[in-house]
Amino acid sequence: MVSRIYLVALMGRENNPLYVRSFAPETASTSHDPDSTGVSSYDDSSSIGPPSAKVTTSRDTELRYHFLAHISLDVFAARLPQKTSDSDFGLLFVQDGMAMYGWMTNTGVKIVLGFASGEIIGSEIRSIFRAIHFAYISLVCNPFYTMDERRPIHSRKFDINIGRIVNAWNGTTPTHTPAESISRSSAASPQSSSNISATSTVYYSNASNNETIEGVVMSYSGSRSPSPAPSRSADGGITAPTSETVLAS
Amino acid sequence: MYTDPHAIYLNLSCLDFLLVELIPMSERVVEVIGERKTSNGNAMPAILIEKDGRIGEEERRGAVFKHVEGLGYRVGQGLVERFSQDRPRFTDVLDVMKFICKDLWHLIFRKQIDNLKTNHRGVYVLTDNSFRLLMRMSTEVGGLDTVTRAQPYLWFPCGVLRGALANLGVQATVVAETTAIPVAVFHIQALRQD
Repeated sequence: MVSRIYLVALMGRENNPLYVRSFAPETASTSHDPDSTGVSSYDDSSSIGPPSAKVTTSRDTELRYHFLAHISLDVFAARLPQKTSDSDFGLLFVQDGMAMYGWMTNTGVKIVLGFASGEIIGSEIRSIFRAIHFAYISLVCNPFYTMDERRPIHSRKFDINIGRIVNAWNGTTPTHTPAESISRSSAASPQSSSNISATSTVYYSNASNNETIEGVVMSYSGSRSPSPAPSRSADGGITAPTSETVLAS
Repeated sequence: MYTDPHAIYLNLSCLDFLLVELIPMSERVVEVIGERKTSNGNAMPAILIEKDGRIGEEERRGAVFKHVEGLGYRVGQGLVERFSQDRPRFTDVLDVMKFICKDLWHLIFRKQIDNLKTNHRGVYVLTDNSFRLLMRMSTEVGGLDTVTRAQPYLWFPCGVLRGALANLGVQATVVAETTAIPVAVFHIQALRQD
């Protein structure tokens, strides 16, 4: 079992932020529901990594992720003199429950991935970095994209590609047991991220079939969690007379 | 070398035709833009407009150079981004130059640069003894006339070189010249050592 990706960041040659995007479950669930984000804004500043019951605003998380991405730049700068051959910078640091991994291309673009820390991630991380780098190359080679080092990336295609890559990774590595996902979706919001991850798992997963099926089952059980509620009321309707009979007897 | 499994192949002559047609196209573009500007009034400085109201030759040439070189710059950036991905990290400017002379030049013009000279202080001279774009060029007069008229066709490769260098962290100025027809010489002055 490997941990989920919470943060994807691209930094340019001059250490300028090109792209910072959060994949934390909090922001995924709250982005659909503007009311719930307004209620609890500054509740817990220490919970970045693990999905907590508390709802953090997407803006709050975004700010913290920008901060984490900028910390990683120092690590890049410190390690660069020793790095001569490879693009892979491995684990950069662990901060606030996030494990940051880095990759630097020959053109000086730094890719940073933030994982929910806990498990050690092996060499399979290289394939994600390669995929993200390929998405960036496709963006740069698009003749209609004006390459400006000073401006962040605004591209729908690039957004889709990155989302695909990350969801394929997160989808194939379910960190929550079905029971957890039921309780989470029933507690937080009806249209939680489990619904989205279900479709993305079916579509983009390139892992073995077993894992894919497992992922789908997991998220379907999550998304159908409201269904126990009517069945329970039906049960209540049925149990009411039985309790009467119990009483009578 | 990077190989794309979904690669679509294209006849190499298409690139030649495109690069040859680029210069007349750019001249027409500049002409149209210049006319629009002069008809609008004082958009163009008065000194650069000749007596008959047309744009000065020098200005026109500069505008064409800027246009073509800008196109090349963008192409160079994209090429480097894609084809440097599986290479070991570049340690110094000379390393970058070697990559451009060997790999990048071969990608665009199917041959390597024949000669790379440097003074180790930021000046690099790249010589291509049979430059692909100039190979089939000749004029009726020949000699110096051909050389002068071939000059604009070196602006696009100039831009490619500058774009490639810029994306690899080397800010540079690139100037090209030709002395006899199939020979192209590129002077690169690196502004900042990385």
